[in-house]
Amino acid sequence: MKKALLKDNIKEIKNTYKRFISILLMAFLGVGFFAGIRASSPDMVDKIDKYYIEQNVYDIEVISTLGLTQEDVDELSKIDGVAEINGTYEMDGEVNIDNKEIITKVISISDINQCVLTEGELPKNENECVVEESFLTSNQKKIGDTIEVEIENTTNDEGEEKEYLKQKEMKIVGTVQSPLYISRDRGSSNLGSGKVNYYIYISKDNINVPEIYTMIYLKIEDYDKYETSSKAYEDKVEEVKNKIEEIQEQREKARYDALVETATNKVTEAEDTLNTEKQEAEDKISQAEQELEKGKQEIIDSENEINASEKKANTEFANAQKQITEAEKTIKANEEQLAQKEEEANSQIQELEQQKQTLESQLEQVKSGLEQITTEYTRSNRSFEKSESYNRRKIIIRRN
Amino acid sequence: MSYIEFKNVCKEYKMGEVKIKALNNANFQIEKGELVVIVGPSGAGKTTALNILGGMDTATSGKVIVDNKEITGLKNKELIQYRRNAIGFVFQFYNLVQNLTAKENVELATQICHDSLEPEKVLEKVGLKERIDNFPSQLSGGEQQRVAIARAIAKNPKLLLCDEPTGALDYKTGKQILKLLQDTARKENMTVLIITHNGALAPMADKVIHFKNGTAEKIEINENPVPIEQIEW
Repeated sequence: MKKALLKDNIKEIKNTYKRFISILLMAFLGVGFFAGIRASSPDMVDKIDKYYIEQNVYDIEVISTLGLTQEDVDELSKIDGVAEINGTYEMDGEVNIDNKEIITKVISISDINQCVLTEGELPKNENECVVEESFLTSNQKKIGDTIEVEIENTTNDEGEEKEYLKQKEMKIVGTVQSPLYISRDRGSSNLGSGKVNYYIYISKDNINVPEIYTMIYLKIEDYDKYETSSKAYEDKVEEVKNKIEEIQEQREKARYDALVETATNKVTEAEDTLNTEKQEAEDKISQAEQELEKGKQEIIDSENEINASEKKANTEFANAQKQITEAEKTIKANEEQLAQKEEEANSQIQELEQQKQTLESQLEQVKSGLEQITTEYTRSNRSFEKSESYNRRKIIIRRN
Repeated sequence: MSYIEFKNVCKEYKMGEVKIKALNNANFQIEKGELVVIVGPSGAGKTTALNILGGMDTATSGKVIVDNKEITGLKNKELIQYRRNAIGFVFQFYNLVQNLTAKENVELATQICHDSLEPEKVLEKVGLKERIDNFPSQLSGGEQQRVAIARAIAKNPKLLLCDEPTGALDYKTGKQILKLLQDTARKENMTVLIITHNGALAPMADKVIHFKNGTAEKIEINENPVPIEQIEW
């Protein structure tokens, strides 16, 4: 640049430095803002990539109306392009806190879709669970508190109705962030208001029907090499998905057949039981009928016997009547004899009474004589005692 | 062949649907070293003709030849070179750079062209030796116009084009300026074109071109130009 022009520029800046600095700052601001906007998009993609890899987030999920079994897991793991596979349990549950219905997604902890632990620890056994932070704050709960989760009963493959959880009451041991729910939306439920409010993570040990998975999560091969939402990734997922769809129908049929077979077996078994028991019952009935017949015979026999006995008894009764009449006669004779003897006894008693009176007057005389003797004795005894004491005193003096 | 030739030059401005013809078949010739005065009423096309001659505008049709060089066909870059080296321009309102001193203003011009003159000497020549380090705001109108002329002359141009150089100046100062231009033309043998609407100035020129409705209506050749001091208006 030529000298004079440069001078002009410098002078221009000097004269209007406030304007210059303002424009400069605006330019910086604009450049910074633009650079920030441009950089944030790839940064966000990088961040979510890293997060997905760290939390081992799934690429494909498989769900079924009839539930999924270990067989399904085995079949899916054979598919080309599937790197990791994991069956998990997810159910809608209801937590009641202060008469408030809270709908939660109850999820079992697994290797795929690992939660970020923000506080406390992960549940180790069946009576522990972890919740999200906002669950604690908005329900005034804290780590260490217990909540009760109600989950609709389920039926296992044998058709028995079972409680879904072994332990409904669980202790909150920590808070987590789930990679499945990055936004605030928790999905919908057919419980309560129809809106899921929170998620709860529980241990797999607490599942009472562990043979039926509610979901299977898959990871595709080289999942860490793809960029989230990139075309290459979408294509790869689509490819694996198509392969899964190839075995979809076969697996659906297998599962259906297995369930129907169990049911049919049960029906057959029940029919067998019915038949044997019917036979048994019929046997018993015929036996009973025979016994009844026998009983009837016995009754007839007994009636005959009774008749015979009656006749015998009648004759015996007549005999006895006769004997009684005779015996009555004897009694009368004996009674007369008894009265006679009683009279005799009475006269003797009078005699004895007189004798008793004489004896009593004599006893009176003896008693008065004895009294005289006693007074006499007392008097003589007193004089004796006097003389005795006198003598003792004498002796004492002597001793002195 | 003349030093400058204007041949059937037309210039049209398009204002939407309306076409305005600023120049309509203008023809004139100027010889080297002539002092030419262009007169005519407002809107006659004087300034347009001067701008085309100075390479600041292009003609719609026709030919302009300066020193055997056709400038109507020049490309933009060539036009810049032509403006830098061949033309000195003096405007009605001086157009000085306010941040630079008189000397620096002249330097600004000399630094971009080839065989330029010494800024100090040129300023001395226009009578501003004492005011060399003053800013335009510290100079009077006449002094400013003299700086503008010095700036134009310092480039040592083939053509000195002046668009109403005295328009913003009083009688006396205007006279000084015109004298300066006349002297320059005589002493340096420079071709000078002066636009004015003041018909009284005509006698000072070697050639007077009368413009009307976009054409050079009348060209007078003045065999005995009068020195400016003798002209009164």
